[in-house]
Amino acid sequence: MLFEFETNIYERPKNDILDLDDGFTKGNMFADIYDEYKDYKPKMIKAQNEREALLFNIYKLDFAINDLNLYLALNPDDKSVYQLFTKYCLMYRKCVEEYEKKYQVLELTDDTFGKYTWGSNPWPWEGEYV
Amino acid sequence: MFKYDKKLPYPINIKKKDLKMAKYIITQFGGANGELGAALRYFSQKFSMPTEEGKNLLNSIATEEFGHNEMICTMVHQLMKGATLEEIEEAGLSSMYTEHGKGIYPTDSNGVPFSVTVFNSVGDPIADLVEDMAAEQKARVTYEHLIDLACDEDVIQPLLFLRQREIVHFERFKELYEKYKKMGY
Repeated sequence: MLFEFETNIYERPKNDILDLDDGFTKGNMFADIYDEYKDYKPKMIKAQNEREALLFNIYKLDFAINDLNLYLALNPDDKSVYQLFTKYCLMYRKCVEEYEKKYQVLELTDDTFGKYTWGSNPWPWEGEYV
Repeated sequence: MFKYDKKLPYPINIKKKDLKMAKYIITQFGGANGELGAALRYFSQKFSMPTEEGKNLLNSIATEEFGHNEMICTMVHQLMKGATLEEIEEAGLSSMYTEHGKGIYPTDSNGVPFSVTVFNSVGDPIADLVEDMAAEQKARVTYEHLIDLACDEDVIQPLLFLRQREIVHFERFKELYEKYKKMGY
Protein backbone atom coordinates (compact mmCIF):
# COMPACT_ATOMS: atom_id res chain seq x y z
CA MET A 1 0.00 0.00 0.00
CA LEU A 2 1.30 3.42 -0.92
CA PHE A 3 -0.27 5.42 1.82
CA GLU A 4 -1.03 4.24 5.25
CA PHE A 5 -2.81 6.46 7.73
CA GLU A 6 -2.49 5.45 11.31
CA THR A 7 -4.87 8.00 12.68
CA ASN A 8 -8.25 9.17 11.63
CA ILE A 9 -8.01 12.93 11.32
CA TYR A 10 -11.74 13.35 11.86
CA GLU A 11 -11.58 11.79 15.27
CA ARG A 12 -11.45 14.30 18.11
CA PRO A 13 -7.99 14.37 19.67
CA LYS A 14 -8.20 12.23 22.78
CA ASN A 15 -4.99 13.29 24.38
CA ASP A 16 -5.35 17.02 24.31
CA ILE A 17 -4.32 17.36 27.93
CA LEU A 18 -4.42 20.67 29.78
CA ASP A 19 -1.59 21.83 32.01
CA LEU A 20 -1.79 21.55 35.81
CA ASP A 21 -3.08 25.10 36.40
CA ASP A 22 -5.62 25.13 33.62
CA GLY A 23 -6.85 21.61 34.34
CA PHE A 24 -7.40 22.30 38.02
CA THR A 25 -9.10 25.63 37.35
CA LYS A 26 -11.52 24.02 34.93
CA GLY A 27 -11.97 20.81 36.92
CA ASN A 28 -10.91 18.74 33.96
CA MET A 29 -7.59 17.64 32.41
CA PHE A 30 -8.97 16.73 28.98
CA ALA A 31 -9.69 19.72 26.77
CA ASP A 32 -12.30 17.94 24.67
CA ILE A 33 -14.54 17.16 27.66
CA TYR A 34 -14.60 20.68 29.11
CA ASP A 35 -18.01 22.32 29.00
CA GLU A 36 -18.39 25.93 30.06
CA TYR A 37 -21.53 27.01 31.94
CA LYS A 38 -23.15 30.15 30.53
CA ASP A 39 -20.50 32.87 30.61
CA TYR A 40 -19.01 31.83 33.94
CA LYS A 41 -15.23 31.82 33.81
CA PRO A 42 -13.52 29.65 36.38
CA LYS A 43 -10.74 31.61 38.06
CA MET A 44 -7.34 30.30 38.93
CA ILE A 45 -6.88 29.97 42.68
CA LYS A 46 -4.37 32.40 44.12
CA ALA A 47 -2.13 31.53 47.01
CA GLN A 48 -1.87 34.14 49.77
CA ASN A 49 1.40 32.86 51.15
CA GLU A 50 4.16 30.30 50.76
CA ARG A 51 2.27 27.60 52.65
CA GLU A 52 -0.79 27.94 50.44
CA ALA A 53 1.35 28.00 47.31
CA LEU A 54 2.86 24.65 48.19
CA LEU A 55 -0.49 23.21 49.28
CA PHE A 56 -2.18 24.34 46.07
CA ASN A 57 0.53 22.59 44.06
CA ILE A 58 -0.39 19.42 45.94
CA TYR A 59 -4.08 20.04 45.14
CA LYS A 60 -3.32 20.48 41.45
CA LEU A 61 -1.16 17.38 41.24
CA ASP A 62 -3.64 15.28 43.20
CA PHE A 63 -6.40 16.45 40.91
CA ALA A 64 -4.45 15.72 37.73
CA ILE A 65 -3.49 12.25 38.99
CA ASN A 66 -7.14 11.48 39.78
CA ASP A 67 -8.45 12.71 36.43
CA LEU A 68 -5.74 10.92 34.43
CA ASN A 69 -6.57 7.80 36.44
CA LEU A 70 -10.20 7.88 35.27
CA TYR A 71 -8.94 8.00 31.70
CA LEU A 72 -6.34 5.29 32.28
CA ALA A 73 -9.00 3.05 33.85
CA LEU A 74 -10.51 2.78 30.38
CA ASN A 75 -7.29 3.21 28.37
CA PRO A 76 -4.62 1.38 30.36
CA ASP A 77 -2.35 0.97 27.33
CA ASP A 78 -2.00 4.68 26.57
CA LYS A 79 1.73 5.03 27.18
CA SER A 80 1.98 8.81 26.90
CA VAL A 81 -0.80 9.45 29.41
CA TYR A 82 0.70 6.87 31.76
CA GLN A 83 4.05 8.63 31.45
CA LEU A 84 2.46 11.93 32.47
CA PHE A 85 0.61 10.16 35.29
CA THR A 86 3.91 8.76 36.58
CA LYS A 87 5.56 12.16 36.41
CA TYR A 88 2.76 13.79 38.42
CA CYS A 89 2.76 11.00 41.00
CA LEU A 90 6.47 11.49 41.64
CA MET A 91 6.04 15.29 41.83
CA TYR A 92 3.13 14.77 44.23
CA ARG A 93 5.19 12.65 46.63
CA LYS A 94 7.94 15.28 46.65
CA CYS A 95 5.57 18.18 47.31
CA VAL A 96 3.72 16.30 50.06
CA GLU A 97 7.00 15.44 51.74
CA GLU A 98 8.13 19.07 51.66
CA TYR A 99 4.78 20.39 52.92
CA GLU A 100 4.55 17.86 55.74
CA LYS A 101 8.09 18.66 56.92
CA LYS A 102 7.43 22.41 56.91
CA TYR A 103 3.76 22.74 57.92
CA GLN A 104 1.33 19.93 58.64
CA VAL A 105 0.99 16.20 58.10
CA LEU A 106 -1.53 15.35 55.36
CA GLU A 107 -1.47 11.56 55.66
CA LEU A 108 -1.64 9.63 58.95
CA THR A 109 1.26 7.33 58.09
CA ASP A 110 3.52 10.34 57.62
CA ASP A 111 3.05 11.54 61.21
CA THR A 112 6.54 10.44 62.18
CA PHE A 113 8.39 13.64 62.99
CA GLY A 114 8.86 12.86 66.70
CA LYS A 115 5.53 14.14 68.03
CA TYR A 116 1.91 13.11 67.46
CA THR A 117 0.27 15.88 65.40
CA TRP A 118 -2.45 14.17 63.32
CA GLY A 119 -5.22 15.79 65.37
CA SER A 120 -3.85 19.32 65.06
CA ASN A 121 -5.89 22.17 63.60
CA PRO A 122 -6.74 23.33 61.03
CA TRP A 123 -8.86 20.52 59.59
CA PRO A 124 -9.76 20.82 55.91
CA TRP A 125 -13.28 22.17 56.51
CA GLU A 126 -12.06 25.08 58.62
CA GLY A 127 -11.20 27.30 55.69
CA GLU A 128 -7.70 28.18 56.75
CA TYR A 129 -5.00 26.53 54.66
CA VAL A 130 -7.71 24.53 52.98
CA MET B 1 -10.19 0.33 52.66
CA PHE B 2 -10.23 4.06 52.76
CA LYS B 3 -7.55 6.43 53.93
CA TYR B 4 -8.17 10.03 54.81
CA ASP B 5 -6.04 12.81 53.38
CA LYS B 6 -6.15 16.00 55.40
CA LYS B 7 -7.16 18.15 52.44
CA LEU B 8 -10.11 18.84 50.16
CA PRO B 9 -10.27 18.12 46.41
CA TYR B 10 -10.61 21.88 45.81
CA PRO B 11 -9.96 24.68 48.31
CA ILE B 12 -12.96 26.22 50.07
CA ASN B 13 -12.65 29.38 52.10
CA ILE B 14 -15.99 31.20 52.29
CA LYS B 15 -15.75 34.40 54.28
CA LYS B 16 -19.30 35.69 53.83
CA LYS B 17 -22.11 34.12 55.85
CA ASP B 18 -25.11 33.19 53.71
CA LEU B 19 -27.71 31.01 55.36
CA LYS B 20 -30.03 30.83 52.39
CA MET B 21 -27.23 29.51 50.21
CA ALA B 22 -26.38 26.97 52.91
CA LYS B 23 -30.00 25.78 52.83
CA TYR B 24 -29.82 25.28 49.06
CA ILE B 25 -26.35 23.71 48.88
CA ILE B 26 -27.09 21.06 51.52
CA THR B 27 -29.14 19.23 48.88
CA GLN B 28 -25.90 18.22 47.16
CA PHE B 29 -25.11 16.29 50.34
CA GLY B 30 -28.47 14.68 51.15
CA GLY B 31 -30.70 15.35 48.15
CA ALA B 32 -31.79 13.01 45.35
CA ASN B 33 -29.03 14.22 43.00
CA GLY B 34 -26.42 14.75 45.68
CA GLU B 35 -22.92 13.50 46.29
CA LEU B 36 -23.82 11.08 49.09
CA GLY B 37 -26.18 9.20 46.79
CA ALA B 38 -23.50 9.28 44.08
CA ALA B 39 -20.76 7.92 46.33
CA LEU B 40 -22.95 5.14 47.72
CA ARG B 41 -24.32 4.29 44.27
CA TYR B 42 -20.92 3.68 42.65
CA PHE B 43 -19.50 2.13 45.80
CA SER B 44 -22.35 -0.42 45.83
CA GLN B 45 -22.34 -1.06 42.10
CA LYS B 46 -18.60 -1.68 41.79
CA PHE B 47 -19.02 -5.17 43.24
CA SER B 48 -20.84 -6.37 40.15
CA MET B 49 -18.67 -4.77 37.48
CA PRO B 50 -17.42 -7.60 35.26
CA THR B 51 -14.02 -6.29 34.04
CA GLU B 52 -10.94 -4.58 35.46
CA GLU B 53 -11.91 -1.35 33.69
CA GLY B 54 -15.34 -1.30 35.31
CA LYS B 55 -14.17 -2.20 38.79
CA ASN B 56 -11.47 0.48 38.58
CA LEU B 57 -13.73 3.21 37.17
CA LEU B 58 -16.61 2.70 39.62
CA ASN B 59 -14.24 2.41 42.57
CA SER B 60 -12.26 5.50 41.56
CA ILE B 61 -15.33 7.67 40.96
CA ALA B 62 -16.98 6.48 44.20
CA THR B 63 -13.82 7.50 46.08
CA GLU B 64 -13.78 10.91 44.39
CA GLU B 65 -17.45 11.43 45.31
CA PHE B 66 -16.71 10.87 49.00
CA GLY B 67 -14.30 13.79 48.73
CA HIS B 68 -17.01 15.88 47.07
CA ASN B 69 -19.26 15.20 50.05
CA GLU B 70 -16.66 16.76 52.28
CA MET B 71 -16.55 19.81 49.97
CA ILE B 72 -20.34 20.27 50.12
CA CYS B 73 -20.43 19.90 53.91
CA THR B 74 -17.51 22.30 54.21
CA MET B 75 -19.39 24.90 52.17
CA VAL B 76 -22.51 24.56 54.31
CA HIS B 77 -20.46 24.67 57.51
CA GLN B 78 -18.65 27.84 56.45
CA LEU B 79 -21.80 29.54 55.12
CA MET B 80 -23.48 29.07 58.52
CA LYS B 81 -20.50 30.00 60.67
CA GLY B 82 -21.38 32.55 63.33
CA ALA B 83 -25.10 32.64 62.44
CA THR B 84 -27.37 34.14 65.07
CA LEU B 85 -30.81 32.73 65.93
CA GLU B 86 -32.34 35.79 64.31
CA GLU B 87 -30.53 35.16 61.05
CA ILE B 88 -31.50 31.50 61.15
CA GLU B 89 -35.16 32.47 61.53
CA GLU B 90 -34.90 35.03 58.73
CA ALA B 91 -33.47 32.44 56.32
CA GLY B 92 -36.34 30.06 57.07
CA LEU B 93 -34.05 27.60 58.82
CA SER B 94 -35.78 27.43 62.19
CA SER B 95 -37.16 23.94 61.68
CA MET B 96 -33.75 22.74 60.48
CA TYR B 97 -32.26 24.34 63.61
CA THR B 98 -34.81 22.55 65.79
CA GLU B 99 -33.76 19.17 64.43
CA HIS B 100 -30.03 19.63 63.91
CA GLY B 101 -28.85 22.88 65.48
CA LYS B 102 -25.91 24.05 63.39
CA GLY B 103 -24.86 20.48 62.76
CA ILE B 104 -24.36 19.08 59.28
CA TYR B 105 -27.02 16.54 58.39
CA PRO B 106 -27.77 15.02 54.97
CA THR B 107 -31.06 16.48 53.75
CA ASP B 108 -32.27 18.11 50.58
CA SER B 109 -32.95 21.85 50.53
CA ASN B 110 -36.48 21.25 51.85
CA GLY B 111 -35.10 19.48 54.91
CA VAL B 112 -36.14 16.01 53.72
CA PRO B 113 -33.55 13.54 55.06
CA PHE B 114 -31.34 11.53 52.73
CA SER B 115 -32.84 8.30 51.46
CA VAL B 116 -30.97 5.40 49.89
CA THR B 117 -33.97 4.93 47.62
CA VAL B 118 -32.53 7.72 45.43
CA PHE B 119 -30.29 5.08 43.84
CA ASN B 120 -30.23 1.42 43.01
CA SER B 121 -27.75 -1.33 42.33
CA VAL B 122 -29.16 -4.17 40.28
CA GLY B 123 -26.12 -6.34 39.51
CA ASP B 124 -26.31 -5.65 35.78
CA PRO B 125 -23.55 -3.40 34.42
CA ILE B 126 -25.64 -1.99 31.57
CA ALA B 127 -28.58 -1.07 33.79
CA ASP B 128 -26.33 0.33 36.51
CA LEU B 129 -24.25 2.39 34.08
CA VAL B 130 -27.33 3.94 32.46
CA GLU B 131 -28.46 5.02 35.93
CA ASP B 132 -24.99 6.44 36.59
CA MET B 133 -25.03 8.50 33.39
CA ALA B 134 -28.45 9.93 34.25
CA ALA B 135 -27.34 10.65 37.82
CA GLU B 136 -24.34 12.64 36.62
CA GLN B 137 -26.53 14.75 34.35
CA LYS B 138 -29.02 15.44 37.15
CA ALA B 139 -26.22 16.42 39.50
CA ARG B 140 -24.86 18.74 36.79
CA VAL B 141 -28.22 20.48 36.46
CA THR B 142 -28.53 20.82 40.24
CA TYR B 143 -25.11 22.50 40.32
CA GLU B 144 -26.28 24.86 37.59
CA HIS B 145 -29.32 25.81 39.66
CA LEU B 146 -27.04 26.48 42.62
CA ILE B 147 -24.63 28.55 40.51
CA ASP B 148 -27.62 30.59 39.25
CA LEU B 149 -28.62 31.31 42.86
CA ALA B 150 -25.12 32.10 44.14
CA CYS B 151 -23.52 35.54 44.08
CA ASP B 152 -20.29 35.05 46.05
CA GLU B 153 -17.20 34.05 44.06
CA ASP B 154 -16.00 31.93 47.00
CA VAL B 155 -19.15 29.83 46.50
CA ILE B 156 -19.40 29.93 42.71
CA GLN B 157 -15.84 28.69 42.03
CA PRO B 158 -16.10 25.37 43.91
CA LEU B 159 -19.58 24.84 42.40
CA LEU B 160 -18.18 25.33 38.89
CA PHE B 161 -15.44 22.82 39.69
CA LEU B 162 -17.95 20.25 40.97
CA ARG B 163 -20.25 20.79 37.99
CA GLN B 164 -17.40 20.01 35.59
CA ARG B 165 -16.61 16.81 37.50
CA GLU B 166 -20.15 15.60 36.78
CA ILE B 167 -19.52 16.14 33.08
CA VAL B 168 -16.23 14.21 33.19
CA HIS B 169 -17.84 11.34 35.11
CA PHE B 170 -20.73 11.21 32.65
CA GLU B 171 -18.27 10.89 29.74
CA ARG B 172 -16.31 8.11 31.46
CA PHE B 173 -19.45 6.16 32.36
CA LYS B 174 -20.65 6.55 28.80
CA GLU B 175 -17.35 5.21 27.44
CA LEU B 176 -17.58 2.20 29.73
CA TYR B 177 -21.24 1.66 28.79
CA GLU B 178 -20.33 1.69 25.09
CA LYS B 179 -17.47 -0.76 25.67
CA TYR B 180 -19.77 -3.13 27.54
CA LYS B 181 -22.41 -2.90 24.84
CA LYS B 182 -19.79 -3.86 22.26
CA MET B 183 -18.63 -6.72 24.46
CA GLY B 184 -22.19 -8.04 24.51
CA TYR B 185 -23.25 -7.35 28.07
